[in-house]
Amino acid sequence: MSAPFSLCPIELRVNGQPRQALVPPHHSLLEVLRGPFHLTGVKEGCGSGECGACSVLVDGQVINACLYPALRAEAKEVLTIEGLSQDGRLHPLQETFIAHGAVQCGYCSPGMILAAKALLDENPSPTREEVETALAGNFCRCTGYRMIVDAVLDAAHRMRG
Amino acid sequence: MFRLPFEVLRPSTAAEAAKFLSEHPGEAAVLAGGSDLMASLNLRLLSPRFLVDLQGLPGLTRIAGDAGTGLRIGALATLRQIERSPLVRRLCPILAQAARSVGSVQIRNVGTLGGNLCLDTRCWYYNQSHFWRGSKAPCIKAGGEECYVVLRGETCYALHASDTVPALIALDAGALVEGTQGRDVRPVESLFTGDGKSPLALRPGELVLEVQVPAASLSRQGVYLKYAPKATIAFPLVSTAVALEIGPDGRTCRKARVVIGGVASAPLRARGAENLLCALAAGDGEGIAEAARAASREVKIYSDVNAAAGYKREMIRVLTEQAVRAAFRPENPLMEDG
Repeated sequence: MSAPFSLCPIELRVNGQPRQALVPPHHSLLEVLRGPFHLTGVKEGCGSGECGACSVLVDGQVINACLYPALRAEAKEVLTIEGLSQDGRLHPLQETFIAHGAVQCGYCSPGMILAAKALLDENPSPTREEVETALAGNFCRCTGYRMIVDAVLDAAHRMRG
Repeated sequence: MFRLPFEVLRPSTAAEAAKFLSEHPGEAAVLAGGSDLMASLNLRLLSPRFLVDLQGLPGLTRIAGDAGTGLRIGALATLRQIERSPLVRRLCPILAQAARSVGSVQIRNVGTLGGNLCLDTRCWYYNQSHFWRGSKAPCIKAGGEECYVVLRGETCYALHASDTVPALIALDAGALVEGTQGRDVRPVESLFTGDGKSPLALRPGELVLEVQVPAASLSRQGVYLKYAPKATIAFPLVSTAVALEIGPDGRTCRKARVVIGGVASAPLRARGAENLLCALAAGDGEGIAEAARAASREVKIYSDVNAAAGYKREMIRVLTEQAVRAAFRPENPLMEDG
């Protein structure tokens, strides 16, 4: 049923490390991260860019991996949730998400945390409204969002020292 | 994984891209940002053999211009770049508002102006997975003979869903189009057929390279308002782009554009409302209300799964009134930061 296709080599950096893969040209970044790279922290929620569960950072910008063609990732820097903790220490966002009860089933959490990181990288002192706007592309069915926003504001506070 | 295989081609010039597209009609799709194309591929709405990736084409992400010569925005500029561009926010904030209202941060970081300009029409019965659509006979847009919105309808009523297009029409913007015969500039308004099944008046091989906002339009005071089922991600249920050219007294409108989006297969100029707005002054509440009522009556609207026709009509009236009132105020308080 499927037409034959040839595999394309890509080279990129993932979580600070150089990685290579041979990918079918029609695959998305989500399929490459979860497949050959075994980074299953990134989740598929809807496959159409409407839920943000697949959010990862590409060159510092938060994007939906389910809509990102794999071949486009060539020479890019990708950050997944696995790349957030350093030397076994959790990132402040991970600490505050736990402390504030912002993780229930956990399915939205990787994407939510990465979207929050993209915000804080650019705006270290966001208002509550700015956090809500920055996370508007990430849906959560469990928490009702309040604890998530509290966690992001607390992480921002901690990161400002 | 539902996406059917394709190959990706990377032309190095627009002419090369146009030539390939014209030689493979129906088999090739244009890859700009990919945020809409990939979603359609995931739903298996289309299964092209080739994707023509425009990312390598030079000069298409530029945002440039000034009040004297007009604004030029490359088709591959992302919606996020446009939303945040100091030049766009200063010279035509209505376009920054419209860009900002699209999707989410994730989508705007990759979605392009060209992609939003050429966005396919949408319908509840069409934009579903191949599995979902398999439960019914194919609709007209999917190549069948049934319409599930207008029963016994013979044409497709899929709805125009772009946010930037109404704003661009309100600015009388032009599109620089590259085809196999060369380049020309066409009014953005002329790019839409009004047919839900084939909404774009572009021949195979024709590519939008740039959007141009004429200098004369930059002095218009404009507002884009979008009404949608949720404040994020959603396509417009009803949207209104209003741009007013205010005369030297600072209060009287001498030219108006009122463009309604989301309710028909193409964005619609509400010309009756536009005529009523000319010669209206800023404080004329009743005149503005009458123009808004006129806008809501000019459009043929069908009920669908999202809203009844009467509700959409009322929302056109409400949005148009709000947009006109805001457009009369040059400090434009509806513009948000972020």
